[in-house]
Amino acid sequence: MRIHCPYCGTRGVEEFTYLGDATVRRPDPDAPEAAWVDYVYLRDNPAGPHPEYWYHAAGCHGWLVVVRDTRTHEIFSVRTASGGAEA
Amino acid sequence: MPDILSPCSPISTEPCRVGGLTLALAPPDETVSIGGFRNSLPALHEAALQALGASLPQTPGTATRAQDLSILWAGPNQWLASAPSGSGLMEKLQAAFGAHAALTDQTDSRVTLTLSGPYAHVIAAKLVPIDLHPRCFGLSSVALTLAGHIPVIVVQRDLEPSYNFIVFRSLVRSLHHDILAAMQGGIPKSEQN
Ligand SMILES: [Zn+2]
Repeated sequence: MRIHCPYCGTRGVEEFTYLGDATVRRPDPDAPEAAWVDYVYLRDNPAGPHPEYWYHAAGCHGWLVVVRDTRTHEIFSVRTASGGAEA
Repeated sequence: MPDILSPCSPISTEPCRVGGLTLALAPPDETVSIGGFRNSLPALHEAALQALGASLPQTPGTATRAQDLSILWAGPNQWLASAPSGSGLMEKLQAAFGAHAALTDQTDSRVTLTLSGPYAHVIAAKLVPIDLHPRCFGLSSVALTLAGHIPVIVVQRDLEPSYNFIVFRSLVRSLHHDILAAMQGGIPKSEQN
């Protein structure tokens, strides 16, 4: 699998570290316990396009949001997690 | 009065030669990392131009030069500046834009190995997973990548060709070993013309 880093160009997956689901959002501090359990422990496991965080550890050290098809590894889009450059 | 500690060379300073290829320790430059503050990037770029006569490269994978000073792109809004030993680089950068960026002395943290000679790009390609063909990677190109398992910054220095591998000091022995092994493995027939 190769990921097109918006900064560094296309690089092999060995340069990146996977963090996980990029759709989860930290609940409000007073949210009920169930919301925190969901946030900390529970993840969907979709078969298909899925936004996820990847860290370009052996490159620019940028955090990326990669939309990847979990069945085929086809990559639909890559953007920086901070919302800057898109590739 | 205590003795002043002075850094010793992390590996032998004797260059290694295999055929026409040379692997050598580059002179220990002064090196400073620059991390631009998000809110003062325009001021930082302006100050760099005014005070140093060199721009902080905004295009990823590029470098700029002004006299003895070289500035490499080292990540989004980050750069690595280096200048020969004794040039007072930190003081110069501090005066130029100390208010607009985090400046950290990296002189003792990084070491540079230079691989040079005909087919140096073919030897480098045994370790580096990026395309070093001149149409992709040329003079003053910079890549943050891996050499084997070791994180490196690769810079093409000249058209001989020669490449600088900038590496954390504690990893330079391993990198030196790996590059030397790649040199001793020879130039693949498929790459010779
Ligand atoms: Zn990158």
